[in-house]
Amino acid sequence: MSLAAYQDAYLRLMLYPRDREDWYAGNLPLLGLTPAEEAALRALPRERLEAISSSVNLGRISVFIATVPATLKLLLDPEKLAQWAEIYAHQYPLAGVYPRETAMAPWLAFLAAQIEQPHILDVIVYEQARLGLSYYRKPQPLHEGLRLSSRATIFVAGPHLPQILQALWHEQLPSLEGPIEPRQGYLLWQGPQIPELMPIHWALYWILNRLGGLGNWAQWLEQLITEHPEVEDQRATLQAWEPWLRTRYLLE
Amino acid sequence: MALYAPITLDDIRRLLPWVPTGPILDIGCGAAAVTLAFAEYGFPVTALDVEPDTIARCRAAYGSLADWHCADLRAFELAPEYYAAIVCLNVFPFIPSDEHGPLLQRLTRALIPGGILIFSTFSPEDPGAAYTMATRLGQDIPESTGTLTPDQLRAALPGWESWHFFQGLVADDHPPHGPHTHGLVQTIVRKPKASPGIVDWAAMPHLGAGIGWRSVLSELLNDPDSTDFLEIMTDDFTHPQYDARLLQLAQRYTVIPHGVELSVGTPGALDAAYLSDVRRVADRCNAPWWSDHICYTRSGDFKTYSLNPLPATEEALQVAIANAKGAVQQVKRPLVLETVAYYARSPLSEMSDAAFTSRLAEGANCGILLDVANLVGNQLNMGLDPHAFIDALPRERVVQVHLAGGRLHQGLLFDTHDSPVWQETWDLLAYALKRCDIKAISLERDDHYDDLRALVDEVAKARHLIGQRL
Repeated sequence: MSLAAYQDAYLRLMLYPRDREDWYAGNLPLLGLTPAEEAALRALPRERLEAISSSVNLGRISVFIATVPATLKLLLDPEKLAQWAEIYAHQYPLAGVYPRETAMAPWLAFLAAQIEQPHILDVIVYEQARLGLSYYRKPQPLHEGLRLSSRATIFVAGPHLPQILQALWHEQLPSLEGPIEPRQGYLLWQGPQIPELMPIHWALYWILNRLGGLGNWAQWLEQLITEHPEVEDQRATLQAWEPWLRTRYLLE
Repeated sequence: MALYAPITLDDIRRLLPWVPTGPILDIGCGAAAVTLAFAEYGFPVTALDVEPDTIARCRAAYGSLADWHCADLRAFELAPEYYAAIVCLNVFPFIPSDEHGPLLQRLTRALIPGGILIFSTFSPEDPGAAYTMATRLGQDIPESTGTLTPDQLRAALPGWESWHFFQGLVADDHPPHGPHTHGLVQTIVRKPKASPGIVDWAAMPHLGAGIGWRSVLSELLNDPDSTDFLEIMTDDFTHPQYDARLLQLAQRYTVIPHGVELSVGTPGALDAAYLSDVRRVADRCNAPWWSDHICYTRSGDFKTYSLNPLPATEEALQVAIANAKGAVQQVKRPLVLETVAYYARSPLSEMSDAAFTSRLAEGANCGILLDVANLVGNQLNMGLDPHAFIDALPRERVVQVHLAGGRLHQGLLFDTHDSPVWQETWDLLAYALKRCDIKAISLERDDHYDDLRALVDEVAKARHLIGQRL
């Protein structure tokens, strides 16, 4: 018996029960299954496969809805969210939500593609940024060069985002009428419990965006000033950010 | 003194989810920064310092957050295998070098298997090595500052899992010396822990009747009598961000981690990263066992998040036995595997499901989690005889039972955990209790939480049934 191929084929059939006949014809002979395994798969009643598939998907839809961040749930119409979850479950049969830090990103991206309200899109960008952050970790080996801590990240969103999030964190509906321009860089970092969000100057964003374990703060600052001489008079301020970030363990 | 670098207080805080559940010992607590980090997270902490004023200040400032002792480590009794973590930062320079070996042995013995040692001291390259900072216990005569070489420290910790090791010079700046350097040797290590050998299932603790914990059920916990133990979804807690909450639960209840992503029937390598997370969760729960399902949730190309039954073949059995053994090796706790719901039974099966389950349990040294609701479903959906299934299981291996209500969908009963327990399921539980040495019954509910009182009543009914048998 070729258990791995048999399981692969069974899961394929369960996830796509409707195109099983075409798939049998095109693929089943290529899988290296024994005649008994082929016969066993062909013997699976289509109605039964569809019932299993349908039940599995009902469960997935409820999980997709349940795992939408609370901030977004407040902003989204529940009926629309349920519809989107159903479409997503059917369109992406392999999509899931665990582990959250990687599996939730495509689901949030799908939601973003359905939404036109720019302030809600900003909240999605914020939630996407949070997915990658982890405060807790085992000690890491020391490394050369400077980078943002694994608990911190940067992103760009509208200037109204902090007020929107403040309202949402207090479970209140925010005004979605504020300005959406100019776009603003934010530094987001995860504490033991709550995340901290701070708007930052574009020049600081420029430096943080280039830290990746290569080079040091002074090198990137010089590069910034070479490319953007207009921030020369901000040199002292930009230098001062490095110890500020280090004190909060946001650089490593 | 900023002597923690490059182990910082931040490093220690970020490490806390990997510290097993248990008491912490902070030796030389000083201003109590490390003590507070552990205590505020939820660990019980014993803090030692030789300076009476230091302990008096800490006691006045932080009161019952920790158990404060003015004591020299050398005169402090250390019970064997008692502490989950011991923090000993820069205490050894004040102890003569010839006392270091026996003292390190005392520290390592005092840690539980899997416990964490966070240790720092001066290396011989420290400028302070030229001074006389050490004293004998009960004497005031200064002796040469105690130092350890990295090799000496490593030799004292044979077979320990090293998470951090540092040796080198670090800058420091404090009165009366001003800017100066220190030569440090530092480590964070985990004490080896053996995998369980032959498990005596009959000796497993009786847990009574419990409930599958979900965040919406938190208010149930206001009533301490509502449940005897908790069963958590392991996969809800694999992110360390949720660990502090789990620590709170584990300090109030026996908590059993129940996972869905082991995929014991998938041929090929186990997911080592996932099992590392499971080990952390199981260590946090200090659970007598952990559980998952007799199924596969993924194959080479697909991951369905559904619990797909294995064909009862010799090949599938050998795959499941090898995977279950490997999982126990990595998680280092006894494993209990659950019978799943069938919606289609493979005609390839070469043996009965009960024979497959029994041979798996015996071959992999696992327990069995009997889901009686699934047996009712398998009877309705597949015509399988639940009584014959129970009769054929090794009675001492059936350590836990799951109860739940399911949902009829397109003519099949699905294991949806969203309705009250069926009467047929209660009847089957009573039957299983007569035939198996069941230690724990847990109720699963994943949706429709509108009547929490009814849930508590179901737990009470299960408790009554198991209570009659205990």
